[in-house]
Amino acid sequence: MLAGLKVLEVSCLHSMLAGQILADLGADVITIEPPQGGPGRREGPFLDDRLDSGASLTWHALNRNKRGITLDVDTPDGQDIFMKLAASADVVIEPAPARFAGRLPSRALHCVLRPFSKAGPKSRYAFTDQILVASTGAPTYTGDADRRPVLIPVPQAMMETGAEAALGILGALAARDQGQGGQRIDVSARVAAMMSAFALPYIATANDKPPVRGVGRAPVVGVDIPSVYECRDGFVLLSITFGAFAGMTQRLVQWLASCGKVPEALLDVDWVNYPVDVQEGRASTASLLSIIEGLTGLARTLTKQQIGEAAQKQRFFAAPLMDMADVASFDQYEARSLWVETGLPDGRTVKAPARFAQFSNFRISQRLPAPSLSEHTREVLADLGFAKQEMQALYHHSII
Amino acid sequence: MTAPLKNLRVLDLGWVMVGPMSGRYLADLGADVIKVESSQRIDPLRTLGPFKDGRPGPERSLAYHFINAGKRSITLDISSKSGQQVVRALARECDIVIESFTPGVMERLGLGYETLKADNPGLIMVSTCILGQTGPAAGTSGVGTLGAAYAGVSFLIGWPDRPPTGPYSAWTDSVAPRFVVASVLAALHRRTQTGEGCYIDVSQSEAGVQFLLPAYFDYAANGHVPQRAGNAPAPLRAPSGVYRCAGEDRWVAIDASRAEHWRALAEEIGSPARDPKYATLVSRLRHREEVDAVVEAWTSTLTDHEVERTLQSMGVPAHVLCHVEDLDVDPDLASDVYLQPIEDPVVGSVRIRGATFHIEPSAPERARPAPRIGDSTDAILQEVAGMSPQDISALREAGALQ
Repeated sequence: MLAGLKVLEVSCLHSMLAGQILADLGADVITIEPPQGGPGRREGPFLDDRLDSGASLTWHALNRNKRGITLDVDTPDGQDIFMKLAASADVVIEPAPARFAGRLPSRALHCVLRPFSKAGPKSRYAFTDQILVASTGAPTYTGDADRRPVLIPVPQAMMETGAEAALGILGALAARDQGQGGQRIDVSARVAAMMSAFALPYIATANDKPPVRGVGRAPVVGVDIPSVYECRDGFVLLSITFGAFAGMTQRLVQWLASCGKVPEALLDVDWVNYPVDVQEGRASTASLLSIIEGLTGLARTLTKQQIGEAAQKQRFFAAPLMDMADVASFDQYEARSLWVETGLPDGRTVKAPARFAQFSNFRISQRLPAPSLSEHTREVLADLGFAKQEMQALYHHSII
Repeated sequence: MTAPLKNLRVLDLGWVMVGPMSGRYLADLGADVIKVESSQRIDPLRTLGPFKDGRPGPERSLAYHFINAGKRSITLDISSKSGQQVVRALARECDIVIESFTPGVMERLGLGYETLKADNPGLIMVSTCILGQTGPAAGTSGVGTLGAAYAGVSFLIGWPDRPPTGPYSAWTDSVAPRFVVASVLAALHRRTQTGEGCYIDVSQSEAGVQFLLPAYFDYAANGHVPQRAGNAPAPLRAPSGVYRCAGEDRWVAIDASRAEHWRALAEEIGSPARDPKYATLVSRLRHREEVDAVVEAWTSTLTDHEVERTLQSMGVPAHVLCHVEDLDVDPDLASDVYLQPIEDPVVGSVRIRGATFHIEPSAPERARPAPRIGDSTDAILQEVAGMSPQDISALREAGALQ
């Protein structure tokens, strides 16, 4: 797809997924780290409790299909080498404050990743991933009503920003393909992460009521409809929906009735208009409470897999709450060839969920595992014409 | 300079979020995006809030405006033969087709990729659904809450001593469009060079797994199954987490794990934070609950905005956990021109976000309203499908345009 596209990624936490998406789609990506290693190498979890530059599993997860070099881009030699690489590069990705603004070839697509806005009051804010996530609004409305807000225990702003940067770069590439020349792309991590807040930013301007943490939108007056149920080996999601999705509830009731968990009379309930019917006294909440009771009882007798298969077969809204062991063994992912084999620094091989899309005439593959520290420095500098002794001098001065 | 995709046309057969949000990205980049709707069976997104002034109505949903901004709408009954012929006629003139039906629906309607490709060999078509077009569970219907469960994120969110709570809203609905659009734009780049079209299949749950890769690798490499961590998801940092502030349900996120950040915070708090036993990272990790209690005893006397201002002025990472009213007036979002005004005949003057990235000199479009149902039906049939007013009248009489 992107064969021939040359990308230089000045590695930071927010750049890694951007570079990997482009690399998976075929681009030649060189990730550039400082001589002591990029920040991604200090991100847990770590391999077998190792404490070295190859131990970070976050690094392994997000740097597939890239070549890696070390370079101190704040030294004159580092800048010179970077500019030599940039002379033939199509894309440069770097964190703010941008070192290379205005210095790149006119055809370059220059992407700068910022935590907040470019020049607003928070542009110089100190940040971590969870600070950025907090700023989106999503955590305020996530969790149980009687406890404090909760966060996803995997850094999400770095994922959101990386993905959004890939889109900005590919959009800019389309402009260049149309003859519009080089482009500057500016991505705010906070804005990228606000995708996870869905419509929260529009509730105030709409003059509508905000949600309440731990409480559903309560479409049926007086009933707190659970969505997560305990089953024999974990938890499952079972959704009772109305209106446009009422057909799903109808089929859910059919499943419950076929298992003897609700009376057949519930098959005749109009689930499309049920919330309004309850509100206006044409229906009672007894039918809904009967479904919830039936689901609670039935779920406890079944496994995650059994409920997932029933939902797939009978087409109602339910899914196992899979943990990472379930993800790794899910036959659907296996059958679709989601996985590619990838090597770890300890010599073992694991499967990585690399194929985020399946194409009729392209296949995401693993050409390279995530690079070890400075793995391709010699190769890349040799291509630029540096002599062996010059490279040794650069190493001696901690520039590479 | 014009927007990057100014000369491109997209047929958006998606519904609810992933397909339509993918279409919105392309509309932001300048493409002419034609949203196909049915007036008889409206996009369920029109039934979801927030609604203008809290009053539901198919043209009052801000969620719909957010996800379908800048598109044109045509009403079609694609279950009818003549409706299907219109889709084929439109797809013939489009560069990209997006659909998000349950697998097999497009083929049953005679609108599968092979059919559309025969009419338009350079077509890029993307199908997206919960578990993908192939495999034993391919027929699964669902929305982003199910995708989140299958991706593994729902299990990870909540408290260790309680059942999972799951993420805010339909999580994979916000993740998957990125992988749809990245795939489409890459295919477009290749088509520019080779003329070759493409069919793309994006499973929304597989896209979700991409945002959880560190957790997945922890299991794959170490055999460790990651668990829920409540409000403190950074086990190697202390203090780091969410702290209560003055007021009803007000919270601030703070990370003062680095030595200089802790020194500044401890100085601000005073005793007992200055106790030497909290001076090192390891001691703070070992006394994590004590340190959190010390920090919260201080934050709970201040408003969340006071804590954020105080700590950020000292260079310590902190931010309020925004409520919807904070997002509406946030000066930094304003500086980024995040929320932009739109005018709509039904909802009036409101604000929705613009593009999620800046590109210069080629610029994405500014925020625009979403279409009203079928607002461009005749114009699209004339301009794109080349139909005469008589053809359109015949279709309307046959019931195909509803």
